[in-house]
Amino acid sequence: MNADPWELMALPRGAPARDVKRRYAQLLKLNRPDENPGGFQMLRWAYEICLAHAGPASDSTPDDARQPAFAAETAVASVVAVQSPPQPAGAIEPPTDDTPPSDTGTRPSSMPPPVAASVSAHEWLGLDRLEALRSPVAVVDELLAAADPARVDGEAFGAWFARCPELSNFAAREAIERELLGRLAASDTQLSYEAFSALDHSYGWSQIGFERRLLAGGMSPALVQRVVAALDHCLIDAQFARHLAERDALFNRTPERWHAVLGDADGERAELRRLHAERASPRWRLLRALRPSVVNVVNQLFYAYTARCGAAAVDRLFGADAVRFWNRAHPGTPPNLTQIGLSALRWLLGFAAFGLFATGIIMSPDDPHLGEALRNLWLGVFASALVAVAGATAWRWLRFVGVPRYAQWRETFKRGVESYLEPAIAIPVLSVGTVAGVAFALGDNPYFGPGRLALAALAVIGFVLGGPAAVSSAIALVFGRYAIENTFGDGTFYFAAGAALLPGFAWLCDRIAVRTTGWPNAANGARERRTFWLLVGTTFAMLVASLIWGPHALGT
Amino acid sequence: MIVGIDLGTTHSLIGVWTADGARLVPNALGEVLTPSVVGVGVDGNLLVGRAAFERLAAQPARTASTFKRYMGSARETRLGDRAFRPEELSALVLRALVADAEAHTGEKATEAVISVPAYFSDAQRKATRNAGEIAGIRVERLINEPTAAALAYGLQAQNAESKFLVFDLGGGTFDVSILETFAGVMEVHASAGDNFLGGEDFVDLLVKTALDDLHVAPPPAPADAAALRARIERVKCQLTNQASLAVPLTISGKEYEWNITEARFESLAAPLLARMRAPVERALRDSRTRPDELLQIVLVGGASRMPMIGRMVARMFGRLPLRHINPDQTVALGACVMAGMKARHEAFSEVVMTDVCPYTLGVETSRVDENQRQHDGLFSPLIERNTVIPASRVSRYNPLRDFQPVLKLRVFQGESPRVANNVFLGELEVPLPRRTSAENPVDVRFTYDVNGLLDVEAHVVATGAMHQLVIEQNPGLMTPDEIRARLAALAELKVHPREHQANLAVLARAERLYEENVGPLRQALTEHIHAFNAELATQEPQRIERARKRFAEFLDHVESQSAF
Repeated sequence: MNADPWELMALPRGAPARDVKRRYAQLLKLNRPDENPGGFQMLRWAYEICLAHAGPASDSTPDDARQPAFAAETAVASVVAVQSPPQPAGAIEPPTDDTPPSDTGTRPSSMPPPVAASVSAHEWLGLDRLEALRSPVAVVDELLAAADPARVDGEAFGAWFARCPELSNFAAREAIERELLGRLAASDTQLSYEAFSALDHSYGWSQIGFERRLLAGGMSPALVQRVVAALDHCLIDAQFARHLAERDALFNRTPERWHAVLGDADGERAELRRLHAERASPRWRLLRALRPSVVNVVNQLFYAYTARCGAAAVDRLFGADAVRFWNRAHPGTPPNLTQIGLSALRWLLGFAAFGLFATGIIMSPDDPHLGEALRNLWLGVFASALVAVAGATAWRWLRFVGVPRYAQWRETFKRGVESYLEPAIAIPVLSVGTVAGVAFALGDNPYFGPGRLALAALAVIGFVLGGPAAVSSAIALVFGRYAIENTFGDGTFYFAAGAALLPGFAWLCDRIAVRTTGWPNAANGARERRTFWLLVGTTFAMLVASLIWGPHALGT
Repeated sequence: MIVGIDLGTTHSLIGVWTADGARLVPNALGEVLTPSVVGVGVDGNLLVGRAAFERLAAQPARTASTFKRYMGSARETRLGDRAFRPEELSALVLRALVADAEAHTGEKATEAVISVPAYFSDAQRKATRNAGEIAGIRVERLINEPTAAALAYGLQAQNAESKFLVFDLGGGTFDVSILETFAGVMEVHASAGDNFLGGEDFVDLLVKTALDDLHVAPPPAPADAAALRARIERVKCQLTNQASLAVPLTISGKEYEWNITEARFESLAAPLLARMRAPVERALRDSRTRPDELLQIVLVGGASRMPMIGRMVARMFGRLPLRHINPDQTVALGACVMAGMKARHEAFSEVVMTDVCPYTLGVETSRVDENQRQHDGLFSPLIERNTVIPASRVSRYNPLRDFQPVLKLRVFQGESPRVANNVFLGELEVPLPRRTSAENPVDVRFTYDVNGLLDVEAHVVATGAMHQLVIEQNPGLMTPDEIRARLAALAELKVHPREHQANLAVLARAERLYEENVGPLRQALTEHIHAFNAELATQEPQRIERARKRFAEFLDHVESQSAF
């Protein structure tokens, strides 16, 4: 909005909050929310801004109209004395003079007759039965005992939390929070995940403004920082402990090679536990990294855990330098010394092992040339070290550059072609292309005539768009014709070509159907499936038609 | 005449604003509280209110209660040979209430102000308004129950700035509101609550405790289970006055004796009480209020009569709450005050009230991050919770892909950053022109009206087309055609006339007492039932009314003589 909020409220800039409120009250009566919603919204917008930028209150007139506030007491026992008028429970009494008596002495017939004597509020509430509040230190001791992650029963904390009387009293709650945060910042205390999330939910530790609240409560900035760091660590540890204890895996759909290495969710958790134990000592890291599958698995685990719990969690749980080592060993990063060194080492070790094995098989221990052979072997190993390093570097670079580039090209091509997969464009093009391509292919010319090139091009497009079935079409087309004709005689080629091409075209039709109808994701699948099969049937009919009448049309 | 109605989970009330202030209207039995119960009689006609309530224990399969908890959903209750939606059941109750008001005041009721829990969602509010329409009365204003309670206590009459917390524990819902009043303005700062926490849950807890203590399985016959539940409900009310009780219970024909103390009830109810902490904390946090800034705590709602509630509030805030108005009637009195304000009675020209919406509203979006990974199911909030209503906010969204034909806007309400944890309100489809994603933004405007009902507007920037779209595909909501159809269908239903309902109520109560008692009381009851039936046969209204009053007094006497 372009208007000036102070002008709208007709106040000088920086007027005190009380004046802002009074002016708002006056204007509100003229712009009531149910009568003038537009005006009310503008007024509200201006009021909120003015209130946020209100100046300091003038000290001259205190709030004398204010009723004496009921003092906030922490110990409930002292509340007994005055406040609300004594009343018998369950009876119906006339309300204050504002709202006159409304019912005429009836009551629901299921309620028993009211207690005759007039009981004071204190006795009725049984306030003397209320517990005296304990000190925050004692409460926090109990809290930590109930929140111990080593406890087996996960419900213990919830039960304790519900029953603790100090947590109901707001003043005591804050004292408990201060004590608890102080202890967390001082030492590395562990909380179970249930306890942490219950406390977080209750106190709002992860909400915006938490640090501001601590600072406003009088905590020093250094302590606030330590507290925030301690809470992060506590959460990370609690999450990890819970993940290790529960049944589900990080990956929902386990790929097959995963099974080969890790087995299942239990194997995954055992691996995580081992990595967590290894974070202090790097002893076995290099040895395990010599197997590329292990590098892949560890990186996938880190990736999955980062997605679930964040990079800071991974750094803390598994050690920052361990994480860095496994990252650098992964082929997805730019080629570096760790990767090249590991590849070269693998190659060399393999070569040496093979050489030893071969030497052992070929030569007997009594052979006089054994020593010479072994010396030659090791010389060869050292000499080939250079080859190994060069080869490893080249291979790494090829993988790093080639694989993502290829994926990028594929994505770009797909996106470019997608807009042309609209059925209004694609079906005519497809039909014409099919007819023309098959017609050309039926022409009598050697292997690489234009017809075959056209069909090969169609198959390549299908392959690039991701249809594995189109690969078989290409192969059948470019290389199979001669073989089939030699084996089964003329004419069978065309049938075979049609049969091989059909999966590719069916796949293309499926893409069109998905684009237009959203099947198989659409809710009304039946209609969409009918459309799909209609498209497939149309294409097949066109193919058959061109096979039958094409030669006639071209006069062959 | 504008009436104020408190449509509660267990009881409902109706009243009007007169020159002397808010007045609640008694029903045909002379009671101000009408149970929110609907039942089907032996002849297939419908019973509403006390008559149906008395039959709740005897015929649970033919009686429906606590249907307020199903408002906003499509759950149908089968009564007799017809299935009723919760809006229709509420409409039957509303019709009965309005008939009572018209009979008492002699004027026709044109409009109603109905109270809803502050934490009711958009679908639940719309269902309440639809219930009013089906009942044949115009509902232009819904008022939040804690706000109504504040009005009833006259909190708006404070001269200086003061903050209050209203703690409303009804039969089925729990609401907390923090209000501030100054110079005749009453502002709600924050609202929070739990739509599934109320007195009924305490009764469930007691029933479970009784069965566990006596080592008895829950009675399989629904009639027995309902009778047990009604008994335990009376035990709960008794525990308000007495610290310890010895209760004789009859379960599946066998007699038991069960001892329960108020202290034990409180310790068993600790998880329920702990559930009340979170909304209070949330409301205090959202309104950025410290507990010592509150001038008063106001206790509202029938279930707040339990001393453990008062004790918990005293523990929370270190002071005693305000509850000198009958907690059952507070909300209804507030609704009458609101009705008076709406009719612009002179007393209210100086008072204005503003309210807030309790939920965050937004749409589902997807995001593509720098690694080309697409994250689905993210919640993008448009209107934050505790925004003063009416409010209107606009946000711009782009379609995910180029050349998308349709933009699907899924509207959610809730506080979680993932839509899977939020509540789905409805879906809108906006047709888009063929443009790339960056050239095709859509402006989505959410407007909350003063009743907290949502209106959604989508503006396609490229074509300039405005789509004022109705939220559909929410199974809990009814379309206007459906409402009209149900209104017509309801008019054809046979409901016992108002006066006859009172007679049926008294007879049903007598039957219940007959089943519960033994020996000479039974004989006396039989004689009185015969006598009353004879009076009914005379068909003279005055005689019947006198006979009914005498009968009711006799039944009160019987009940006070009952086993406990």
